[in-house]
Amino acid sequence: MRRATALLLFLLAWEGASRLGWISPLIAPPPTHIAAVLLELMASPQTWAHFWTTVFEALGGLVTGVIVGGLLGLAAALLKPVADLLEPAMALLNAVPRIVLAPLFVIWFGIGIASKIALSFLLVTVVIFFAVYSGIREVDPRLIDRVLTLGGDRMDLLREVYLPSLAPWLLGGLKVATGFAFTGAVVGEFVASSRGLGYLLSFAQSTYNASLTIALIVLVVAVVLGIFSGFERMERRIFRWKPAPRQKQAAGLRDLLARRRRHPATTEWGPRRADIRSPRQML
Amino acid sequence: MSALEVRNLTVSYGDAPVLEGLTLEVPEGSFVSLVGPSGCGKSTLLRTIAGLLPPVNGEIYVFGRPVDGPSPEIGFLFQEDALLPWRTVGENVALGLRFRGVPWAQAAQTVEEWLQRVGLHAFRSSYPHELSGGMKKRASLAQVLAARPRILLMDEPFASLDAIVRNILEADFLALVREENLTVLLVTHDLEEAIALSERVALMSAGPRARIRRVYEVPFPYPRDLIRVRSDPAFGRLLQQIWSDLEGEVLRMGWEVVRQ
Repeated sequence: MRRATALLLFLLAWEGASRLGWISPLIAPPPTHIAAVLLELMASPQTWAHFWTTVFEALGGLVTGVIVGGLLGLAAALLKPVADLLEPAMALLNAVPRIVLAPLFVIWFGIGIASKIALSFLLVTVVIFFAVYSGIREVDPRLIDRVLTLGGDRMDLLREVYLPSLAPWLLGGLKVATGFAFTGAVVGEFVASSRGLGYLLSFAQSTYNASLTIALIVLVVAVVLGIFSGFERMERRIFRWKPAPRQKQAAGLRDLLARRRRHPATTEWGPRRADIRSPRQML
Repeated sequence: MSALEVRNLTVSYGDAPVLEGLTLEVPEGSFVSLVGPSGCGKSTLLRTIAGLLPPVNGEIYVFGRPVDGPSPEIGFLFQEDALLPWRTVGENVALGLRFRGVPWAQAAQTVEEWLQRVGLHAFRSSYPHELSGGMKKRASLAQVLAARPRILLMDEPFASLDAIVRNILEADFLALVREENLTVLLVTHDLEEAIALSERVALMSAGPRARIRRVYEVPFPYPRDLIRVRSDPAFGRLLQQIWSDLEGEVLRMGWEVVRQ
């Protein structure tokens, strides 16, 4: 509620400043004007063709990236040679701004949707790879012992320990990956394309049309936030077992940023430092 | 028949031998405690008996059958609570039964019974993070016992609890295992706990290459009052004796002794 009020005040101030001529409408046109452009955009079937192109590219990259990144992460976590092979490559890919590959992908895959999906895919794969790889490696060994000594087999281990331990990492990774998927699609379209929101954006930018540019940005942000909130609802359902403060945290978008920093699966259920008492020194 | 027979057991971590030529026998239905200098390999021995760690040499028989991996016959209660955080208390207690393919209706009944016995029936649908340390311990105990093991291995299960909770839990636990006529092997760093709870106390020598140095008979019949037993003169004498042997063991290894 407070956030909504703050946003409203900000928009009002902007509107006023713009109307009073304190800021140039060429740089920041009043919000009402942007809203009008946005409505106009949304009324046009052409916009939706562009919109769905971008969504298709991003989701294509997201789905393929999650599958491939997930499988590679799984393979690396379970098979040492695969880890030796993949980890340095993935770490390198993780360290460099992968976006720089966009022009290369245009040369390889053409200016159609293939190059955008490829870029999206690459961005997503790396994120999901590390989410799954670290998630499995961080599994609490005590839980594995527990399941084994209770008579569980490998399938039981997967179902009762690995998958639930992985879930927070995977969902955290998925949210980051969604942002990346759209980044890949839109930036790919910037570089070279004939369709998509990124194409419209670069058109708007080249004609110095600030209203259109901001309206398009709002559109992109709206899609990503929509997908995010879907993930968050999923998160709240899945993580009923987590301590309450954690659950409250999952609610706010503000915490998405915080979450990226402190990775989701800290060993929440591990013994807190204060709970570990050293055995008496002697015995 | 012995519930547990360890013959000439050698266990190493890499090239470092932890246990060497260790032999131990636990009769069916008896309660044996294992004490020894810290780091002597008590936990390693338990993990090996549980089938979590392969021995380099020697044999382990549980009820006459050689151990070649974890088995539902061997229950293991860890020092830390290892309840699955994403399962409710009831689901956690049901785990062992589910792994064995017990039908749900039957499992639910057993779970209910065990939750009653450890006094957690009101917390069936709570998640582990909602429980206190002592309650988690009770839940772990119900989880392990519901799987119907024939022998129970315990690795300092009460170490992380405060003194009051600990006394209550020890008494409840002892009553429970006597009722079930369970064979118990308890590793502890607390000599008093070892004497108060068990029929025999086995002292391990200092590692590396640890083995069983001596076994003491505890002269108190069950059922016991754990508080009263501690003030018995015989309790003090036994404590003194085990303590001096233990001290000798530690000194022999040239370790620094920190008196309690």
